[in-house]
Amino acid sequence: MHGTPEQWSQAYLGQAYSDFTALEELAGCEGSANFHSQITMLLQMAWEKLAKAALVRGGSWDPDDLTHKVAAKLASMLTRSEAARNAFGYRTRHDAQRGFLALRDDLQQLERLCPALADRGENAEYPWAQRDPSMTVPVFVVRYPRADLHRNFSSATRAATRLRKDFQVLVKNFDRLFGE
Amino acid sequence: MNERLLETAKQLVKHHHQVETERLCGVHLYEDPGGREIRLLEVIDGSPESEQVLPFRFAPDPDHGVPFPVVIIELSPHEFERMQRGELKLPLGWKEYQDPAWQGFVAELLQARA
Repeated sequence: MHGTPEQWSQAYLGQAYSDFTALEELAGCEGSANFHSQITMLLQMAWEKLAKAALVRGGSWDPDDLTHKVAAKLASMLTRSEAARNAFGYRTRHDAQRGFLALRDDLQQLERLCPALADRGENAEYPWAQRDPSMTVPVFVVRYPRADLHRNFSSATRAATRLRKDFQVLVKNFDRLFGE
Repeated sequence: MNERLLETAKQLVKHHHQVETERLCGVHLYEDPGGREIRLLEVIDGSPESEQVLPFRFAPDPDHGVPFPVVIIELSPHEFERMQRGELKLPLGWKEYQDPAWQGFVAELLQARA
């Protein structure tokens, strides 16, 4: 790998924060209701890069290994970290486990909206063909994210709020959790 | 293995087991030739599946009795089987700590889950 783990980690962290800032701008702008799919995409991208910043910092993972399934795995592991429990402000281990597993579940849903993982189904970026359930013979309708994204993380749902808040907490405590 | 590293690993695994009694179904310790970090592989029921092994390295946490960095690989039971078949690769140089006393400690701990 060219470059040090620390350099790669800082680069991923910087880009993750840039993606997050972009989604916050979009979510706060007039007409943000038109940008559900883009906000959802940016949220998935931001979390993926944040998790990769942590992963590459360890020095054992090659950034050339392309994968989108990183963030949910990290969330699953945070349940066992006392430092993470404190950083996220959970008073008890039980609260921390519940909170991090909920984050894990949200991130898994978000990852599935990445086109590479969506198995030609609903995703946040490209149109897809969906079988019309009202027809007994196979009839497919072409759907697209702007109109048809069922799961989106842009409006003020509990999942969207948690994902945005937890992203900021993890960035703020990044060195404390993954530094030397 | 360095005694202090081993003792810290034991305390850490006990803590992980307390937090994840229902989900933790396997623990494997790997040696760091440099003696600087703890390397754990934990098999967790319900762990999200990835296409590869993802070793996350957590910073030392001396406030909670962990003065060493801790590298953790978390695998689902299915991923662990894939790893055993050679389909998923551990990082280069990861060699399992096969000490019977350690394995006995883990077996006894996990029995509390059964």
